[in-house]
Amino acid sequence: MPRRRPGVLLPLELKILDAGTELQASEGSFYGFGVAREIADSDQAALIGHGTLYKALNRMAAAGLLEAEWEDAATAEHENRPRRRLYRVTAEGAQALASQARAVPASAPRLGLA
Amino acid sequence: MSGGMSVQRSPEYRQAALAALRWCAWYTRGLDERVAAARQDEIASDLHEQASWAVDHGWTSRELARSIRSRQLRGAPADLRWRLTQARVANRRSRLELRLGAFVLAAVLTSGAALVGLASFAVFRMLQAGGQVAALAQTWSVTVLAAMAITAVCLVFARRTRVAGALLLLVPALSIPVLSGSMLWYVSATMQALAQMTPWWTITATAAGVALSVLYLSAAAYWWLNRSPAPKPVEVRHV
Repeated sequence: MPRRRPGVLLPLELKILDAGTELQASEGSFYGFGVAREIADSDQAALIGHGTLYKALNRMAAAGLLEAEWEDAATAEHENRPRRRLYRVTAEGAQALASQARAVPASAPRLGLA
Repeated sequence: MSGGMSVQRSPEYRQAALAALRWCAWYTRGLDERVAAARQDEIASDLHEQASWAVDHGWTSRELARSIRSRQLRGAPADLRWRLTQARVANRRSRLELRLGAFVLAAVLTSGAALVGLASFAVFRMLQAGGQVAALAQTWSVTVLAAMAITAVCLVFARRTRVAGALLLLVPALSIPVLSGSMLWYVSATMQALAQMTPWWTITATAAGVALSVLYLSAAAYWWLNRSPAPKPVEVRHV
């Protein structure tokens, strides 16, 4: 895998930031499958592979683009489902998304990542 | 929602979800427990969310199972790369921990041996000089303290009794420097000269004892916190 320049986001990372920002605006935070579904809907493509998605989320959280915390166990138990790992786009992530969006021509759909 | 329930309870979905969880348990094996559990929990949540979503969108159990298998397969190379990264991070951390552990052990053993050496020297000089009635009680005390320090050093050698050994060293550490100095004052011209030149030697000896006690307390806490827990098998959680 070629090394990328620091500060340069991968297409998948941009998609996650983009979809995550939208989900965050309506729901306050987002979780793995939620963002996979949002990206699949916008790209009209299959859901992202588990490994690809969670590796990217893990890497982005480590890089400070996202912040992650586990959902309260009681909430998940109340809804009778496994607890979610909730993500939020950080200020650094929002800034990276904005600067990348500026670099992409306006005519390109969804940040030109299709 | 009986149709939905049948999709989530269907053998196709169950088999696909179980395969994904088994794969996750396999590629997280041997990693840091918290890292492995976090990834397994996240995959379990993903599978559940996808199943609920599939129900809402009218997917059949076969479509759901096929999608899960496809996601598992497409993500497998990334899973393996992620595992390699995690293992590398864990190796770096464990090397650092090993170095710190070796340093703490060496510091405790060396200082413990120095305490035994100082106490033995003081007792030996006292006996060599034919004993001093004034320092008889101190001689006995230092002999007992030296025996205590030898026992503590032996305990520190064994991993299981390391914490007890470090705690046992506290008593000799606080007493041997001052008591040995006082004993040597009776029989050693050097010690008498030192006491005259540096009237604050008792304060220095006490400070050295306190510093050693802090070292032993820290070492005991470090070893207590780093006790190796019994290995836990990775469980495959059923959705």
